[in-house]
Amino acid sequence: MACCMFVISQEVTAGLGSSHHRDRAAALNMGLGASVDSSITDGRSPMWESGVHILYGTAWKKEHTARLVEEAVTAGFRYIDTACQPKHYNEAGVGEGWTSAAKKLGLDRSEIYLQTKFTPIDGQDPNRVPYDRTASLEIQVEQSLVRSLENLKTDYLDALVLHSPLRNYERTLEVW
Amino acid sequence: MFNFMHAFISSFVFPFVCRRKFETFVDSGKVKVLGISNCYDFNTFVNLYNQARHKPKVLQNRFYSDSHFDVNLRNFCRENGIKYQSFWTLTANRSALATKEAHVLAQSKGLSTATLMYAFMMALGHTPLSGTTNGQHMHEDVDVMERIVNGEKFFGEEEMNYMSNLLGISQYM
Repeated sequence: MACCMFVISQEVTAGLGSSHHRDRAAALNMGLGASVDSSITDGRSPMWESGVHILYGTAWKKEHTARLVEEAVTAGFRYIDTACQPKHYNEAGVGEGWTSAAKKLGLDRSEIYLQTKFTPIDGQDPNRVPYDRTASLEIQVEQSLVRSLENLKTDYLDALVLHSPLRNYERTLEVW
Repeated sequence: MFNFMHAFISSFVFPFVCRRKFETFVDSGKVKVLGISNCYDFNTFVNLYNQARHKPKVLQNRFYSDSHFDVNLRNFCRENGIKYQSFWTLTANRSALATKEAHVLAQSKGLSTATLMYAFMMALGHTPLSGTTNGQHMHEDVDVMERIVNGEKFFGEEEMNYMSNLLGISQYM
């Protein structure tokens, strides 16, 4: 048994060995610009060009969401993450927060990165599903996007993420 | 029968319908890029990448030891222009960041252990999430981000290794 475990750990060690070097190489070369998608960075500030940023996360902020998002953007955050999932996120509050800050700071929509998620029915609070739970999946995805655009007061999203609920992520992994 | 249908829909219809629908949003310009969260299985993600007409540009995962810190996935992301976004970055690594070593390293750079961790993630080419509700911390986060954007390097090679060891990443290498 001990022998077996040793072999496994050797395999893990061998298999992942080169990854460490790549982590280090990336760190040393700061090869960040290379990995940035041009559709995200087109004509934007150095932060967008560099691809270096921290996303402001908006989960569990409830009624404080708008105020906190406004405060975060005012402090200098430009990348915002949320989800069309009322159970954990107040997406409309995010919309209110970033637009207030943008107005105050004179920022254009294109200077803010808005990322939200489509959360499948399994990850929604049954009492607050943000789309027609009886509709087909295709319609649900469509309705979720429409809701997100409304909530976020925008006509496009910088990124739409498929949200796999943790508790059954193995199944949702098969999704996309 | 219901279970069978449910499994069938989950495994086959859902992925296909969802991907196809997501991709139409990119076609119509309503969405710039697509991504997935909580995807920890390397083959699943690579298959998704290979099959997608509009390739995923974002992978948002919890950054923690249970997933071996997504070493292989993160390298795949770097090689394919996908932004790896980490959440639960501080919470999941709380004990490592509470060590004396982490405090000393952070202090030597004029950072908090939180901004040290964020700087480390950005040095790896990744995007950490910060959900802070504290105004002071917001400014600290933005400050470390801007310093890196402006070319400041917080870590040499040895310090990157040191941070990796501290977090327990090296034990999987």
